[in-house]
Amino acid sequence: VKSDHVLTDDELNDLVARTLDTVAGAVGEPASLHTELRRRHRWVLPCAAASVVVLGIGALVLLAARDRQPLPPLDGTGPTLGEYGFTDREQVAVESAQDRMMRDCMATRGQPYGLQTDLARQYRVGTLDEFWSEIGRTDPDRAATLGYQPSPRTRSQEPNAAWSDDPAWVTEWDGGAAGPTVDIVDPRTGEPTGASQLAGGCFGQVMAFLYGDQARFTSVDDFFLNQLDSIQRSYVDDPRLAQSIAQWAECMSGKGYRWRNPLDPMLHFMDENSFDVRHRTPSAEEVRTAVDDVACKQSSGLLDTARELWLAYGREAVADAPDIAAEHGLLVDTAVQRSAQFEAGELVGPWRDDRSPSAPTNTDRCTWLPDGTDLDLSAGERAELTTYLGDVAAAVADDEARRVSSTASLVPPPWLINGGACRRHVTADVVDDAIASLEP
Amino acid sequence: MVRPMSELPVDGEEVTRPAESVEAVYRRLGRELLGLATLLTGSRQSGEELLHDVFAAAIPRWSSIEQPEHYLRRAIVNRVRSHQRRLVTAGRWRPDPDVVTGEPEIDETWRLLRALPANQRAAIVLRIKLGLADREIAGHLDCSEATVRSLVSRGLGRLRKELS
Repeated sequence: VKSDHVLTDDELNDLVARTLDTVAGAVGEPASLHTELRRRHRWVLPCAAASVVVLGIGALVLLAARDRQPLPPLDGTGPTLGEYGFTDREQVAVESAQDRMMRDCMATRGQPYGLQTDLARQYRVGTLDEFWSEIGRTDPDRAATLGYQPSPRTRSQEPNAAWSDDPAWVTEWDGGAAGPTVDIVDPRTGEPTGASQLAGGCFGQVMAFLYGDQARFTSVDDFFLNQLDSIQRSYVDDPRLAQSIAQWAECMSGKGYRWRNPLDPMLHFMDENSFDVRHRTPSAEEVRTAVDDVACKQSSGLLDTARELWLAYGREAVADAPDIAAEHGLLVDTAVQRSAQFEAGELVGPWRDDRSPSAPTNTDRCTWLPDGTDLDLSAGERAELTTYLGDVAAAVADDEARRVSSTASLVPPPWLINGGACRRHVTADVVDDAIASLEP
Repeated sequence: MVRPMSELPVDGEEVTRPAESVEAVYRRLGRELLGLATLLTGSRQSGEELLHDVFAAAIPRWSSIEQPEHYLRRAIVNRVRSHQRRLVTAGRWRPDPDVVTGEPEIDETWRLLRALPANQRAAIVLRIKLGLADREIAGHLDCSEATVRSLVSRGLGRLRKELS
């Protein structure tokens, strides 16, 4: 495309207009809302966004008329698909480790990085009620305190928003749009799905470190998530669920409500802006309705039916592709184990040998803390920093001028952004303060 | 708030609804709106998530939306900025594949458009694709009209430099 010819305004406008029209026409059909929901809920978006979509998709799915498939037996045996995925606790642990790995890696590339708070991680994982997307509020304690709000604080500050538009930062993050990619294939046949995942920068390093083979994990996980989508589609159409919903509606009618769909009361009390409001206080009416709603889900057997059906369809999915389920389970176990080893300081990522000249001496501020943020260290990091500070303290004590010149050969942990600055003008007092700050 | 039982429609009572269901509108307009969302965000995946966000948010108020097509298009444009901030997290673990048209000139130009800062790209899309006036674009991007002109000028200037 590049040439010696300088485009005129008209030529450039025409080229851009054609590009926009062509790309807009090439995007294809959008995926089902339901499919996207499942991905978001498990992996990425904060609870607020996921919850909005869950509600919408759940309503759409329940309203949709679908062809009936043979129904799986409720008394079947064998493993169910959920056994091969992350538990909520495992997902929080792995995401937490991933976060620290990304921080380490970005620091070695001279780039800032803000850790997600524990609270934010927990909002993304495991805080939605059981079967929230299918039948709404099911937790009696949350009903009594939150009404239909998914959590008291549904949004968290994205700590990396400030620099996410910086192309240099994005390139170090995942290689950017022009970086390397891995193709996502059907793990059973190797046939490309047409999708791919970026595999450059720190993201690629972290994925390889955690899963061993990013391409294989991504393909197996994509298949696994598609199976979950398929389960949910079948599940919500199951006449046994519909029967339980009718019993729930009868129970609600006995309490003075007229809702026919278990998502209706939730939708009724929510509006578009409710997710932007932190600590929204539900009205007494909302709480009373939610409490009655959950009580009916329990007494009518709807919640039990939901659980039984989920297991039944999960068993069916495993029977359909047992090898892939087992492989996904192994990949999950690997990631969980390596995350724990990383957090304990038993493993370090390959990025530790990948230090650029610009890091970590990219500031003249000497704080000893990672990027001046709150001290939030894993056990391994805490031990690493304690050892390093001990070495610095010993070197300073041995130095006649009580300066840090003799510690120049000491290498601070790569995530200690300001460590390099401290090497230039640290004093015994600063080191003592830093060591004290590490004490529980 | 929950209405008293006496105010609730009884079975068979007519309830005001838009002419088309959410699903029908999604089927009819989904592809077109996905195209717009993809251009504004620079990413098919981000565009699709934006599209789904907009539909999901519209469901609770569907009965009060008189012109779904107009409403949804405006909602996509209006939500681009906040949506992109939110997707910073999403992009971390689920980066998206690029749209490929098979036409080298178009693909290269799209690659360069994607590489533009988000505001520059959005300003160009809103002006060239949707034909909006600078005043309307300024409203969507929460900036002055002068800034809109600057964003478009700088964006196109960068494209020209890269393509020449």
